[in-house]
Amino acid sequence: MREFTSRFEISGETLDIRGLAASLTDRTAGALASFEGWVRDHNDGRQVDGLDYEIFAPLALAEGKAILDEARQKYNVNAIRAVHRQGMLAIGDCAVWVGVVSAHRDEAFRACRYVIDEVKHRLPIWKKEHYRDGAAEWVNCQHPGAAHADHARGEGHSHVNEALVFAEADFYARQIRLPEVGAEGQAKLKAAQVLIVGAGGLGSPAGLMLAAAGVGTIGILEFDILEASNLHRQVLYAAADVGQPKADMAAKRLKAQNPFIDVKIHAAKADAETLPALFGQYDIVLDCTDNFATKYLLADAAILYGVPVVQASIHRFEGQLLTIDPRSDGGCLRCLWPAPPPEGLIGNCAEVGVLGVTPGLFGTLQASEALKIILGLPGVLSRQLLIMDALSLDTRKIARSKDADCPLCGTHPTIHALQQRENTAHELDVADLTPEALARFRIVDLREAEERLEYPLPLAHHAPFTKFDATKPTFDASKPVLLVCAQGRRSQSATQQLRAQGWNDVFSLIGGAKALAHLFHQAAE
Amino acid sequence: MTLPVRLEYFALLREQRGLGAETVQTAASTARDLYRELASAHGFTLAAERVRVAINNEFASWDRPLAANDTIVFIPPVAGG
Repeated sequence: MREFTSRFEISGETLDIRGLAASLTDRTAGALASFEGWVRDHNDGRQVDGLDYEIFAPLALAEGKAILDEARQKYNVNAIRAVHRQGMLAIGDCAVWVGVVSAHRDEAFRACRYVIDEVKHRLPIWKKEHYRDGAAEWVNCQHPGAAHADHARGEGHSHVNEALVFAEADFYARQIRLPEVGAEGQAKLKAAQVLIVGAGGLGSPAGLMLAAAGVGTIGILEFDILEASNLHRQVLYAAADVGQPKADMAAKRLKAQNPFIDVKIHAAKADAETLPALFGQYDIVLDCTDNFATKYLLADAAILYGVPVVQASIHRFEGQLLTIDPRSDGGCLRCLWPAPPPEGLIGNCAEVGVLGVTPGLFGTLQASEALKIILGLPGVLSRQLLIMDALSLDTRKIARSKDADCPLCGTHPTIHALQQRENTAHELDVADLTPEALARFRIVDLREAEERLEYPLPLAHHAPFTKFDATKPTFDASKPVLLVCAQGRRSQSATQQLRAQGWNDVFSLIGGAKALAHLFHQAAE
Repeated sequence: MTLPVRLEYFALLREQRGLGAETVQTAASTARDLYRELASAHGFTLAAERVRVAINNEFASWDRPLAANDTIVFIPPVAGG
């Protein structure tokens, strides 16, 4: 006669399966469903000779008992018994046994399935796989994805506190010791979901720090292929990864850094189509991108979708950091600079160069901001902009606040949705051209001879559009060139054609010769 | 009458000025006038509309009158990563 309704054990001996089943004998039961887990001779494509199970018994016994109690209650079965082996096992040995008795077979099958799935999902068990080639490797048996379909968060056990056992708790021991973190803070980190947009110079250190700290879900939005010129600053990658998709390599590296977290790959561009859904999935977004168009999209999405965005940007040895927190009164990126400047006026890393430590510092600061937000710590940069020069180490925090006239978050906003593209990268507006900026460019006048009489541009090179051939430009297209026509349409077309030929320092002037003549006129005054 | 002010330049402006910080005497009455003077003296390629000015660690309007010993930082947006 059995004297228990559920019992979970750990055994160092070969399992006596017939004896275990017999111990469940029950005159009111009509069904016994049992499961046996065996040691097989291969895993992940490698030949396995045997397994060494190591179990952290006090926690495993408590968690195992909890799983059995849940199953008994959920499926209303008579009794459940489960045993897990520890120590060395050979191929074919039974590593785990689950038996359930109930009045009818359906509940018995379902409870049995629930128990084995949850045991795989929740128990702090490690196995050392001994491979036929002589190697051996410790593998964590906790499978985050192995939970039973009936398993729900917050039911029966917590995924946060109790799941932090054994190796995982050891992992975070030094930060849990901080009163500002503690077990409760670690649980918040585990529950947090952070999206990293751009797995480059900023995203690399940010991702590594967040993964190491135990942020439970990290998303990587990146579509690029790794190039050799990335390696000096993008510390997520190894030289052997060149030519591979960055998102895949980044996810692999972060999972290796911390096997207890979940890393999601989003191999896509950050644009008005992809961002709305992603902002719905994550608690915090790190802007680790390297161009104004994407930075403004992400900054706008922060306000439009109510998700904090931590933004860092680098220029040579200097960087800027700010956190756009839609719940604060610190405002957004557009409160500071209402619109992005035309590409080409400021320069990017490819053009001006960068030392790897500069994005290294700022990416780490982005991770720090994210951790502060998750842990509810003070000092989040939601009402300031941090600027720092890595050479002098001069640092300034500049107070900012919401601008009532901001087109995005002001009192009468004009931006109500993400804009795919606001200023074409290769078009310049006279408002952006000081006489000094203009002096950088060779001006090429695309107008026909008779048109040039109106608003003449005496210093310009003449290249009438009717004879224009982008494959054979009559001017040096490798130097900065500003194309001008009457209104800016022909110059835009010619610019696009030249850029398609690889001449990237070619720009088109919005407003054409009239706008330019006006600028000269102003300068002469 | 001129005022002594401390100037700091960020990013592109630092490069175009050729230094990160300096103290100058200025006759300009507002931040905008001061930036205009500097832009023409040092060949800044960014129009004031593209740059933000911070006075004494706070973002300020270009129209803000200057006071003696103000610390004035000119900050263009940057986008590298």
